[in-house]
Amino acid sequence: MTANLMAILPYLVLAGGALLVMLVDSFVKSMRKDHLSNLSLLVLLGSLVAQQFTQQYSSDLFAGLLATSKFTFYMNTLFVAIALLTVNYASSLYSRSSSFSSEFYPLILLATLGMCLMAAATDMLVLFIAIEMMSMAVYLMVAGNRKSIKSVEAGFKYLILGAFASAILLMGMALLYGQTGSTLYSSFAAVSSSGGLMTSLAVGLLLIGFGFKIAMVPFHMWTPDVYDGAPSHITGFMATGVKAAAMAAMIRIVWVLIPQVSVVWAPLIGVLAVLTMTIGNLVALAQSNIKRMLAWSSIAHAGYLLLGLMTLLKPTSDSAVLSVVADNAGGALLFYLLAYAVMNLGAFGIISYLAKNRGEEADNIERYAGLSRTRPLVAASLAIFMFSLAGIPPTIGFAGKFYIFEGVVKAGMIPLAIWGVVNSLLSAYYYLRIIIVMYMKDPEESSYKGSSWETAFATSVLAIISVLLGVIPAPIRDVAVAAFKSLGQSG
Amino acid sequence: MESTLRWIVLIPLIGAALNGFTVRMMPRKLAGIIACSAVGISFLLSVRLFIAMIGMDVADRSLHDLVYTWISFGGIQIDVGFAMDQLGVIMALVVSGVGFLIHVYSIGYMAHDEGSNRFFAYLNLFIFAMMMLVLGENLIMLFVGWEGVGLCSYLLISFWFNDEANAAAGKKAFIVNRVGDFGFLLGLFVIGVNLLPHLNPGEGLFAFSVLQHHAHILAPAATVIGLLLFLGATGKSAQIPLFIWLPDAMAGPTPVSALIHAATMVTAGVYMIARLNFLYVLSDTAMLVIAIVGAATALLAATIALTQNDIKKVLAYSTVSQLGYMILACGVGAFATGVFHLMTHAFFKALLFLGSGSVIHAMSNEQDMRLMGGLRKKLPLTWPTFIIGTVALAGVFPFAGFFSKDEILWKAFSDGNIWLWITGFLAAGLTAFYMMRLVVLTFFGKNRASDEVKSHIHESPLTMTLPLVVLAVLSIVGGWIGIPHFMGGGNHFEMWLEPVFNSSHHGAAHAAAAHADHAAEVAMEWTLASASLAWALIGISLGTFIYMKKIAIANAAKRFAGGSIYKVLLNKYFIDEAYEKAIVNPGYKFSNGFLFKIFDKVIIDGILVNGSAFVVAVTGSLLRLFQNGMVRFYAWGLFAGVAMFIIYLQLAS
Repeated sequence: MTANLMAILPYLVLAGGALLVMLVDSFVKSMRKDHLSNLSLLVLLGSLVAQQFTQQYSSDLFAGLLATSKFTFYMNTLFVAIALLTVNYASSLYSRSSSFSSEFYPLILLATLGMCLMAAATDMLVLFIAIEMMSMAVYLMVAGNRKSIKSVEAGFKYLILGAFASAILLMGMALLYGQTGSTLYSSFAAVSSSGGLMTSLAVGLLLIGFGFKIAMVPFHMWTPDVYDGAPSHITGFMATGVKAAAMAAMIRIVWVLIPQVSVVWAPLIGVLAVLTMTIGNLVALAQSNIKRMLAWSSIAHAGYLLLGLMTLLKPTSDSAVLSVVADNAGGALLFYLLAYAVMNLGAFGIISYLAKNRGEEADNIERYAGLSRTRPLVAASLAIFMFSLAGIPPTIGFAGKFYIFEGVVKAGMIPLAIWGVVNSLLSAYYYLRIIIVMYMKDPEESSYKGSSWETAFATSVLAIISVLLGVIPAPIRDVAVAAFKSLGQSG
Repeated sequence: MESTLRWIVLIPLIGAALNGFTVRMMPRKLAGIIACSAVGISFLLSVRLFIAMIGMDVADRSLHDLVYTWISFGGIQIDVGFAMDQLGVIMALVVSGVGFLIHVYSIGYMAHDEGSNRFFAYLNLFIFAMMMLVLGENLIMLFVGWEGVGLCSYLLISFWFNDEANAAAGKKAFIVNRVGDFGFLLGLFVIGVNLLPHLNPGEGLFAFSVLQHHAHILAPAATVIGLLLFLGATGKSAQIPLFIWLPDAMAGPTPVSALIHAATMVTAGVYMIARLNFLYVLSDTAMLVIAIVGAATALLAATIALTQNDIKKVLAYSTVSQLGYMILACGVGAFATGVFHLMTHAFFKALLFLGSGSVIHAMSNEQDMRLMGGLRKKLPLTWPTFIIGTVALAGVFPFAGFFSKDEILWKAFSDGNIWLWITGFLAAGLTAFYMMRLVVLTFFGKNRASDEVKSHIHESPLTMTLPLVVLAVLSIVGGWIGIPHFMGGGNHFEMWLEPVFNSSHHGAAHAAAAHADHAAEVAMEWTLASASLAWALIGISLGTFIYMKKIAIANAAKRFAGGSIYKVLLNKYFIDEAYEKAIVNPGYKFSNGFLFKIFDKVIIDGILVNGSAFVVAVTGSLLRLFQNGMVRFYAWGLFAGVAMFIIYLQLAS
């Protein structure tokens, strides 16, 4: 038992930290808000440190409910880093503006805990609880700007539609339980190779449940409204953290069900990947609101992720080839999650940075005019993020897409790879437009200006990382492949 | 110790970044100091490795510093790494050593220029790229450096871009080099295609060591590869047919002409051929073409230099001519000799350019020699150093140029092709002649400048004259490390490079040395050396005599054959005009008439861009209709999706 508790120390730190922050906020009235933010940062850092002490991996914690491995290590680090940045972006906002309340801090810690558990869960019940823990916190955070109708509406919409999605997911779990009599992932191997229609349906419902969270077409319709309505830093958190967590959980459960999934669902996922990226990019072209544009772009990026998932699932008879291709495809997916987090959080960081002076969202693209003149460093960072999102070398976004498409080509699906590249091309149009507005138009009276140096610093660091990992992606990619390999042989 | 290598390359980049990113804030003096110390450190590190290398066994003199693997997919592996062998260390020393002196010189030269910080940033960036070129461990790194120096060259030629002519010269250099680089790239592709199927795992596709190891695989394609890569060299090293950009490149500040367009960058082609010697020796055809192009360029450029009036243009054509010698040496398989001349030339040509810079500085930016004269007394330090550079270039014993040039002529002679030797020999006399013309017009006689300019003439500051002195010393003693055997010297330079070119004992030079009667051989060497010394002295005397005493002879020569020969030479054989008519104009017409008006406007813009944009816009707006903001509608969408999944499942199973 002690060993089990030691292994989940990082999660315990997050859980305890969330409670602590909540208590401090309620009872220590004199506490200033930015101290709460610092406390939350400490908790998150503590969780990272705790993780360093728990490197003995175990696949069998609490009788198979949880498993820690290089995979969870990789994902946890990513989640905690995302949360750290989000708190960083939020801190000056929450300490100044009365429209935001300090519940944000315990909520984000709980959401992070949920995400970490989603990646670590090897039991459906744990998974479901983890998903709900994350989702509930995120619903509240989306509605975090109490004085903005848009924010509250977005939170409510997300709550209702999220409840539907959870129901569908739960239905899938129930069906799967009906087939195996167990909620443990390890028991799925038996049905996955021989399973009938009912198992297929169960898996399909699971895919829909996760597909909702990652904004897969046709379950994406909530995304633009919610991303637009939520405060910018929360949108960044959702687009990167929530999506990565859903993807991690999906990879994990799908990986044990692979024979089943690959025969029945792989072709559909391929089709949906194409639809997702195409629709995402097409609609993004027409947006004049940067948050909505990035919302649609995040749908498009979900399409690239699904393309990676599709390569992972592709049925092959040659098992040696399969394992190599799968390792690379899985590594590419995990790398992409990181790449997307870096560039997208950077972009949302800058949006929330620019918003601060006015207490409103900095979402009108036209008002980015002349940012290169007034805030050269911030403009340069945003330009790097846009290049990266468009997949232009030498940025991390290029490396991420390159690995995904490389996997697709190696799996022999060249038309899909070409379609992915065409989509990338399409997306360049709307990403580069931001750069044009920033660099080729003169600053105007109404142009945004930011203030918080913490955010500017954090986004500059992200910009440097974007370029650095774009030039030297291989070491991180190796880590990602190793993380994926630690999931072991497929079902 | 081997990781020192990366710092030799990177420190100039750091210097460039420091100056480049703070271009408006950095105090000028500090910018100069940063730039100089960056190159200076690079030089000291190179010296350190050189000393370490001397202490090693011959077989171990190859340092390797792998930084990381850049690309690894589909069997192609390309590393970012640096390697230094006997050839690399010579190049590194020349680049950083001469580079350092020119940096110091620039502090004085650019002192009055607004953009000196930008200038130093570019200069450091250039040293970085050049180091990457000479120390890269594979052809791709070399190519990155190759393009990098090209970029810096472009930036620095058009450094004073407010003047239309400078901007045009920069563009010309860039575009002409593009032709060469295209050939270079094709050469790389041919190597890649031929080599890829034969690689063992872990072998870098373009690594020099791997290329050398697998050279036999490339043998059937050696002629094609060699000529394609050589096309790149004709661009970068200004050989026929692509030499036309170099004289125009003199539009840049004079230190740039000295560093990039005389001492270092333009020798990149020579370095590349020497580096790939194991490939070139596989193809006699390629070698012959190289030798002929080199010899022809040497003579052609020397004849043009006879008539030019701009002091820097004379030196520019002289550079083209000397590069021709180096290429000729490579073409006859005497790679070590080519590199030897590369080094001595770097000393005396940098000296001459810097000296001319000092003259121009004194003459308030006047470059026309017809308006100079009598500067001997006004420039007490510039003038003697300039004379040293001149006699070194003319090939007078015992100055640096004598040993290297004479060695090239000897190798060409003993290679068995007498025409190559005659061409080179002719050009050598012309060299002495046009250099004396330059010296007399500039430093002797009466000053022909306006009174205004005259009153300003002054010797340059110490930062400018000190590098002149150092380079002058090098121009005297630089050749002594390569005194050939027949004169009783040790020919240390060639011995040092021997292992690099070991595998490529080529042509008659070595065969003759092995077989022919030794005594007759030595006698022949003495004869040729004496002949070329006498020939140089004749050139010098004639030049001095005509331009000091009997200017009438020169004027008579101008009128010879109705003045047509003079006109042809003055106008550089009308090569620019011929290119203009044969290539540029038809190209422009084709681009404007077809590519722009029909292909671009109608097909690309009309059908592809606007057509697809229209389709995309319409689809996008249609899709937006689904985005109506109603939760109920979204929920229905969700369930429609579920239904779709179930229907799909029914159909699929």
